[in-house]
Amino acid sequence: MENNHADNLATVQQRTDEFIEALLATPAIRRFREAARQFETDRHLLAVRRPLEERPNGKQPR
Amino acid sequence: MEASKEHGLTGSPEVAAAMEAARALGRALGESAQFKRFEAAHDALQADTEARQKLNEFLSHRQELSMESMFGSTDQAALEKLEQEWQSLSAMPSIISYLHAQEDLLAVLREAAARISQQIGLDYGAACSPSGGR
Repeated sequence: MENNHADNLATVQQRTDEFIEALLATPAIRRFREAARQFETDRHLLAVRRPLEERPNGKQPR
Repeated sequence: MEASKEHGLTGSPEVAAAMEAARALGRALGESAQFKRFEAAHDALQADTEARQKLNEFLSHRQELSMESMFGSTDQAALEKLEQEWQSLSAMPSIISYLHAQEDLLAVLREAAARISQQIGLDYGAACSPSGGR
């Protein structure tokens, strides 16, 4: 029973990983990840973002 | 439809593979002990007329109180009565089994969603909600 339980969970984990792999290969996720990377690294975007994210008390907005 | 194709939502082999992988994950979840226990607990609760009636009454009273509290008129006695109703409900075996089974299944689902979110870089559970995470 315990073994079956563990087997089932291992299968769920394996299928989750396969789903992740398949998702990462889709054009939509590839574009999203590229856009997210640019959002974090593009210096022009950062120059606009920084003043917007700075608050008088120095905290980042949530 | 054209817009979907243009944005890569349908039509590509990668999307078809992702859909098949999603179905396989769904099947694995459906075959898990947690899902089967939840299904059995759900059926047992449906068969327990007394528990179902009490649960419906509790949910109805809770909704009434929630509406009242929105208008700032929460009745303390009614709140205490609701708490008593919950205490009585949560001592019933079919309710206990259902809640435990639900908790166990949610833990598995949350773990899978957290894995997916971590790997793809967005909150997968929120993105799949009806409001699309907005």
